[in-house]
Amino acid sequence: MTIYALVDCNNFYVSCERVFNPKLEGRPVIILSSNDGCAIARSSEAKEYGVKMAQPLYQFTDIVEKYDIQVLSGNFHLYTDMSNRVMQVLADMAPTAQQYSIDECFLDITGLPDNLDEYGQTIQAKVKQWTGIPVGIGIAKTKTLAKAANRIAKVSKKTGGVLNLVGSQWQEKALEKTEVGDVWGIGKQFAKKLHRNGVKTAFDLTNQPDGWIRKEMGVGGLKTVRELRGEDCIGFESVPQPKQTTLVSRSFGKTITELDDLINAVTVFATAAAADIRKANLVSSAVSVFMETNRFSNEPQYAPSQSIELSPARNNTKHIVRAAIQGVKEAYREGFKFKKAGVMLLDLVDADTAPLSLFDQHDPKDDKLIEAFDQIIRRQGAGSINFGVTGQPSAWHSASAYQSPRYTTEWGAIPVVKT
Amino acid sequence: MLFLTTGPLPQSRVLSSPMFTVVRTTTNLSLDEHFIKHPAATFFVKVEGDGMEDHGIFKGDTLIVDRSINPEKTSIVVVVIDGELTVRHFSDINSEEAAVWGVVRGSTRDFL
Repeated sequence: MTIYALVDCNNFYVSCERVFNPKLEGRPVIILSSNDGCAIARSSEAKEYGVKMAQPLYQFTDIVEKYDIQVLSGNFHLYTDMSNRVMQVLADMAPTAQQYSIDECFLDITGLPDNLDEYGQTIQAKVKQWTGIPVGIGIAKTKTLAKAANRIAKVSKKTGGVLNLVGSQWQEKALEKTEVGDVWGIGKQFAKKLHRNGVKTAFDLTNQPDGWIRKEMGVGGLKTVRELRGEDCIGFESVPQPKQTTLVSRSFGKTITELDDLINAVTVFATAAAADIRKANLVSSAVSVFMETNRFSNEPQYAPSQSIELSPARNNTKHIVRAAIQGVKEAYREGFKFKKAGVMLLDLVDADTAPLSLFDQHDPKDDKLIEAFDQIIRRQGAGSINFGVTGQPSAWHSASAYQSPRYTTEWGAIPVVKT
Repeated sequence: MLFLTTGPLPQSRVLSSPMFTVVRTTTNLSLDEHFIKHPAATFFVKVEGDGMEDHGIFKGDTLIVDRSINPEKTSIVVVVIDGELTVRHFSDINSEEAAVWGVVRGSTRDFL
């Protein structure tokens, strides 16, 4: 039996800002998407004042003034670096760590500690001390249960941020407390349908007959329900991608040392990632590129990552590939043998509701090009056609009027300490 | 770093021969290695003001702060006082007003 811990950073972007600007502690804080369009992260205080996720800035300017809410532009260089730090700490605390999004990670803590609650608290304390980031932890026998436990751990003060459902009487209570639409893997449409059928909580869902679930929700839905019942179906192999980010990465058969080879690899990843989000009608406002050497070799180690903002948010392969290549060029250093690289598209929002930029020069030719491009990929398969690298990447213009310094990635921006 | 060996090491550059060969490895002394014991927990900060000169910390110095270390009586620490990052000797802080942010492992000064 595997025991899963889902570690999820609390209000991650806001927490990153607070580490270097402690004055924000206890104050309402809102982080804006690139181009300062809408709220993409809110501190708990800001949530209380009624600012909604993805709400455009102009709709809540009065609340900002009234309650003196601190508004910041997204600082993706900072968030990516802090995310890497959190993931590094977590990777040292469990034999298997699987990053699920910029601020979430599944750990395999099977057979590690005698007392799971205590180990959860140890992980929580260590991440907080090393990085300054507060996390919530859900521990359970399946990933879906760990997700549910994490949700409760975050809202219930009693848990202290750690909830363990293994061998406890809380598992059933936790499912009763979990609204069916909040179950990992249950979409809005299914949630509505389930409600119409009187299935309101995760607990109700576990009591439905398999046949009915399979008929109404398909094989994937049945998997989710079996996971809720404590049957491990997802494991560490296949993970459904979260909505807010998409990740394409691969380990190389042979290590890569040359920049050109890395650019080629990352172009393929970025192309695949762009196609993914287009299919889901999403746009991304930041492209994160990472590469890493083999952790288990004695060679010099280097595992950088670099985020490039996209303004306005986009899903066009041309723009995403260009940003990814810029990221690779900035992060690359000579003399290392890279074993793995990847591209992550961050901060995904629905293409139809994404804010437009004044500086957006929309070229209808682009749409036709992408359409043709996607058709070729559909017919010939991924990698059959790629965007070449032509010319210099243009400077990415972004409003970002309220951005904090890049405290951890730029010498000129490191925090100042008084004496 | 230079090593003397009786034969070329695989994948290294051979500089001379034939009695013995001098092999240059790619391992150089690294300041990162010296100062950064816990990369995930290490941050750099810049000193403002001259209040820590008695402790050998001057205006403009770059401090290497390791958050993974627990402070001892003799530690120089970065603390949060009134919401501001501040550098102090651990024995000088009032734990009611100041929360430890990290332990200062070292300091660097650029003379150029």
